[in-house]
Amino acid sequence: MMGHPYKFEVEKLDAYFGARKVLSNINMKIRDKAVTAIIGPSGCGKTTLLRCLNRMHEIIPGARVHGKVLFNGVNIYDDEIDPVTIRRKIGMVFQKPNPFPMMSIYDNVAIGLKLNGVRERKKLDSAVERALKMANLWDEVKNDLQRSGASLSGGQQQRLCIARALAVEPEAILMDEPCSALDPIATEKIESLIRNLAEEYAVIIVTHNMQQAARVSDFTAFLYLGELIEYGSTRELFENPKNPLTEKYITGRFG
Amino acid sequence: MSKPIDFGLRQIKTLLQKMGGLAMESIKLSLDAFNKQEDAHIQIEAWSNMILILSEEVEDKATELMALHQPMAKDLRTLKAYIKISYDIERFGRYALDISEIQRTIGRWEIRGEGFSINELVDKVMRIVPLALSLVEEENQSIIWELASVESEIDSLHLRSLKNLIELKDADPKQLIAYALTIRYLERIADHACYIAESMTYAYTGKRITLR
Repeated sequence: MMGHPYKFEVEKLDAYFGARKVLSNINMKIRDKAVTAIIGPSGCGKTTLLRCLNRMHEIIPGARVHGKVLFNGVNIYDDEIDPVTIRRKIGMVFQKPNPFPMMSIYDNVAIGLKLNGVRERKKLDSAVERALKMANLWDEVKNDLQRSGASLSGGQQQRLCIARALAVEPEAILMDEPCSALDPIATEKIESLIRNLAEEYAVIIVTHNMQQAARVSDFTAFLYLGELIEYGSTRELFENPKNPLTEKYITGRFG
Repeated sequence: MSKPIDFGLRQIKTLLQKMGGLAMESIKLSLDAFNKQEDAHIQIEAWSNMILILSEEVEDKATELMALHQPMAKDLRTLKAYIKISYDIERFGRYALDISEIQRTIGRWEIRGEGFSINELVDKVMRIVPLALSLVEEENQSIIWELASVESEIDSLHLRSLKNLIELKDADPKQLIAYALTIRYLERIADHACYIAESMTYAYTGKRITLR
């Protein structure tokens, strides 16, 4: 089946916290099977944009969205769309690894499936193994799956969270500064993982680390004060930005 | 606001200026010595070696800047341009050395053939090299166009000089070899001057141009 050329098409998107507009007229198309990075100074709306892509923005009291986010060509903000289904199809990995501390490694990965009604042990076993392998964690934990998820190192916990997101077979993965709490070795593992995931998924990553964006992404969007200033191929944006604001930001000559 | 990387880029620019100064002197001396059939090889070799040492410093400094500051955008383009230009200047020095080696290799030659001269070609090369080096100092669009025009004149002079050389009556074979090689080296020097202008244009504007 021919898929849409773009996994996401953001059209005239505005986002608000109460009366405060935090995103203004965002228009961007995000490719499938590629890594798209969102960069920009603190408070520019990066995380808000990410959260608008799987309807997590609206969870915050007073938050609202205008405009469209087409996912596989369908507007996820249409009335008949169930936000829970959207969040299952579009997984999210957060800044701080957040495994369920009282659960085992196995249950941390299986929880999404169990909540979706999967009970058969064989199915769960195979899904857990597949997700942990995709997250490059299987070899490190396969002999001790009943250990608490909280007992893992920070980097392993983050890969466990990625495995948890992958277990429910999403179509896209959103990552909000997934390496900011990790050391360079754990960061390198997550970055390799991101590249591998892009072979199957649309991966969108918010990062403060421009070198990380340059290393892992195919496309980069630069946001400033809630506006999309520049969006294009990562190589072009970091070597030859078109907008002087982008140039100033990425060369550290802002303000 | 000056950033730490600005300091490093200025250091590299200073090294390139030193290299450029030595290369200019080398080309000048080699052509003067060629004209007078004098041996300036020792001096030019010393300068060429100094250029090589400075180019290694450029390489070290550039590597350090990349590792420590991970430059982006214009900083990255400038650093890339500086690394390439370091090689171009190194080639200037090398061609000057090659010219100075001609007489050592084949010995003195007899000047035969009325009216044959490469002076005009030499003048143009002595003009294009400082033009290119001035672009390392600062962006100047008018210099780029002037440089492109000189390059085009050099191309024509290069072909005309070779043709005149072939047509020389009763030429000393050593004279033919010496001039053919020198004409070729001068043309290559001009090519590297163009590469410098292309690199700096990309560094300044992000636009890739081809001047040759």
